[in-house]
Amino acid sequence: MLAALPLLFTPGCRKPANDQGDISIEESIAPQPVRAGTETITFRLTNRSHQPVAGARVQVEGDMSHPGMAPVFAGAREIAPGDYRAPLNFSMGGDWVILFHINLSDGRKVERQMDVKGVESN
Amino acid sequence: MTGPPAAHSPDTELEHLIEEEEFLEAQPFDLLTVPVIGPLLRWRHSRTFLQVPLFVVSIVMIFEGLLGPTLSPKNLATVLTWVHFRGALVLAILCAGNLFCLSCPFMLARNFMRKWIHPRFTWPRRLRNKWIPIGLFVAVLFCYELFGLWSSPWLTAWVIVGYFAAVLIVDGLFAHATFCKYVCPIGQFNFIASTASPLEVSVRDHEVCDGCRTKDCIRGRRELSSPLVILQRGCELALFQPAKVGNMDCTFCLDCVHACPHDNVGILSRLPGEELMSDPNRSGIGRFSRRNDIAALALVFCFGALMNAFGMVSPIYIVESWLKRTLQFQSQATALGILFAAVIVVEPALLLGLAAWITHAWAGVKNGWLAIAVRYAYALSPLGFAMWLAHYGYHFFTGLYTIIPVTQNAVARIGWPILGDPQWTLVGLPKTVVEPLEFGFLLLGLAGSILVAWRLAQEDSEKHPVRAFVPWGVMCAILFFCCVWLMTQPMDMRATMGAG
Ligand code: SF4
Ligand code: SF4
Ligand SMILES: [Cu+2]
Repeated sequence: MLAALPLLFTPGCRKPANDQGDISIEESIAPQPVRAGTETITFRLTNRSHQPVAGARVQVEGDMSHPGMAPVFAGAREIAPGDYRAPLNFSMGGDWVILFHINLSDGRKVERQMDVKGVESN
Repeated sequence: MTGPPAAHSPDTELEHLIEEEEFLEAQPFDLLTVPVIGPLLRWRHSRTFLQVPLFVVSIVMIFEGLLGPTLSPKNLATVLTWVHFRGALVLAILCAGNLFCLSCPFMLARNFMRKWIHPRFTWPRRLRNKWIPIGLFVAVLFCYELFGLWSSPWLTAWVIVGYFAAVLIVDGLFAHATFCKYVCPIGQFNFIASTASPLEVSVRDHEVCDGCRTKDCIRGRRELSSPLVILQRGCELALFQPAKVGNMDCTFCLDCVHACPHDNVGILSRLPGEELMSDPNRSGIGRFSRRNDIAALALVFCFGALMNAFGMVSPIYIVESWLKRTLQFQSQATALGILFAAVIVVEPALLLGLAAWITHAWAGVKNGWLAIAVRYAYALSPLGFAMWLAHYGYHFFTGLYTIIPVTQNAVARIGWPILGDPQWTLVGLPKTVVEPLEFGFLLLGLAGSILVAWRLAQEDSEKHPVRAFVPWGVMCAILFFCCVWLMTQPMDMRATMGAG
C-alpha cells in the first residue's frame, strides 16, 4: 500500500467532480482592502458564448485556510441578468477561500472557488 | 496493605488515625489498579490494541490528504492533524501522561518491520543526545509557518508519510528505541511536556526492587533455550525502573510493566512538575543540570510555543513587512528565519543570561552563569507547556465538532453517504467558554514555573533564596504576560507561501 504512494506526487485534482466547464465566473470584492466584517461580493456568471447566465440560485460560503474555524454563508441576489451580489461577513482576518455553490436554472450544479488572501483584522 | 487499625485508648486511636492518614497520603493512586482501564493496560497487547486505531486513522489521513478535498477545513488530514490530534495530545499529557507515545502509530509500523528486519547498528555515541531532535523540532515549526502546513492537506499527508519513512529507516538500521530517544521531535515534545503530567510509570515498592535478581524491567526476558528470541522487551529507552526519575524519555510503552516478574511497576500519581524541582541522577539521562541539550530542548519547547502562537496573530505581518522594508529584502523565508532566530535563540539567550548573571552576582550562587542558566531553564517548561495547551486547546475546543461534517463528507465522497449530508455549520465550543480555559492554563503554568524556580533557588542559596529566585520569577512573569498578550491578539492565519 505504502509502495503505491509515490505515484501520488501531485496535489489532488482541483476541480470538484460535478464541475461544468462551460460556466465562467468573474468575481470582485469591495471595499478594498478586504477587512474583517461584512464585504460585498459581486460576480457575473457567463456561459461558453459569453452570454450572462440568469436565474441561478447561488449560495456563497467562506472558509478560513486554517481548519477548525467557523465557515460563513450568504445567499446571493441577482441584481441584473447574470449579475449577482452577496454580502459576506468575514468573521476574522487571515486567508479565506470563497466557494460559490451554483444551482443553474436547468438543474445543473456548479462549484467555483475564489481565494481572498490576507483579509485584515480589525 | 494494612486494614483499618483496631481502636484502643483515645490516644492510640488518634495516633492510628494520623498513621492511617499518612499511609493514605503516601500511597499514590495507581492507574493500573482501576477497573477496566487497569486490566486493559496490563494486557500484553494493550499497546498494539491502542496503536491499531491510530494507525488506521493515519493511513486514512494520508489517502484523504493526497486525494481528498484540497480545501484544508474540508479535509480529514488537516482537520485531524491540526485541530484534533495536537489538542488531544496536550490535553492527555495534562490529564494523565504521555498517551500519544503509548499509542504511537509509527511504533506499530516499526514493530511490524522488526519482525523481519533486525537492526545491525547502534546509534553513534556522539549523537546520543537531543541536538538532532531539537533541530528537527525547530525545522518542523519553521516549515509549518513557511509552507502554511495547516492550509495544505497534501503537504500534511506528506509529513505523515515522511514520518513513517523516517521511523522505518532509523529503527531499521539502529537497535533499541533510537528513533524515539534520539530523533523523534514529537517524542521530545511529549517528554518535556509530560514532566508536568500527574502520572508516571514508576516502581511501586523500592524494597521489592532491592531484592530482585533478574532486573527484567531493563533487560527483558528471553527464551532460555534460544537467547535470541525475545519473550518480552525490557525498557528500550534505557530507563532502569528503580533509578528512573520522572517522565523524561518515557514513552509509556509499558514494556517494563509487562516485564517485571514481581508486578512492581505501576502508573502512579505524583505532583505535576515535581521532578523539575530537584536534580537527582536519572536513569538513562543523568542529572538535568549536566544536560545542556535537554535544557536547550526545554527552552526551544517554551520559546517555540511563543513563536508558534505568534505565527497566527496579526502583529507578525506588521513585523515581517517592517523587517522586509528596513532590511530591503523580499524573501519570506529570510523574514521568518530572522524572527525565529530572534524568538528562539536571541531572546532566551539574553533573558537567561541576564537572570543567571544576577543570580550569580546578587545571590552569590557559586556556579558559572551557563550552569545556572541550564539549571533554571527547566523551570520554564511548565509555562511553555501552558502556552502549548492554551494554543492547541483553543483550536481543539473551538473546532471540536468540525470533525463531524468532514467525516460525513469523506464517507459521502466514497459513494456511501450513510452519515447524511455534511453539517458544515457544526464548529465547536464558543470563545466565551474557551477563553477562560486558556487563561486558566496559563495561570497554572505560571504557578508551576514559579514553584519550580523557587524550589531550585531555595536549594541554591540558603542565605539569599529570594535573591536567587527574583530574576527567574520576573522572567516567568514577563513570559506569562507575553503569552497573555499573544492570546488576546486578533487571530490572523495566513499561509505565507503559495501552499494550499
Ligand atoms: S517518541 Fe516519537 S516515534 Fe517514539 S513513540 Fe513517541 S511519537 Fe512515536
Ligand atoms: S519500558 Fe521504559 S519507556 Fe516504556 S514505560 Fe517503562 S520506563 Fe517508560
Ligand atoms: Cu494556531
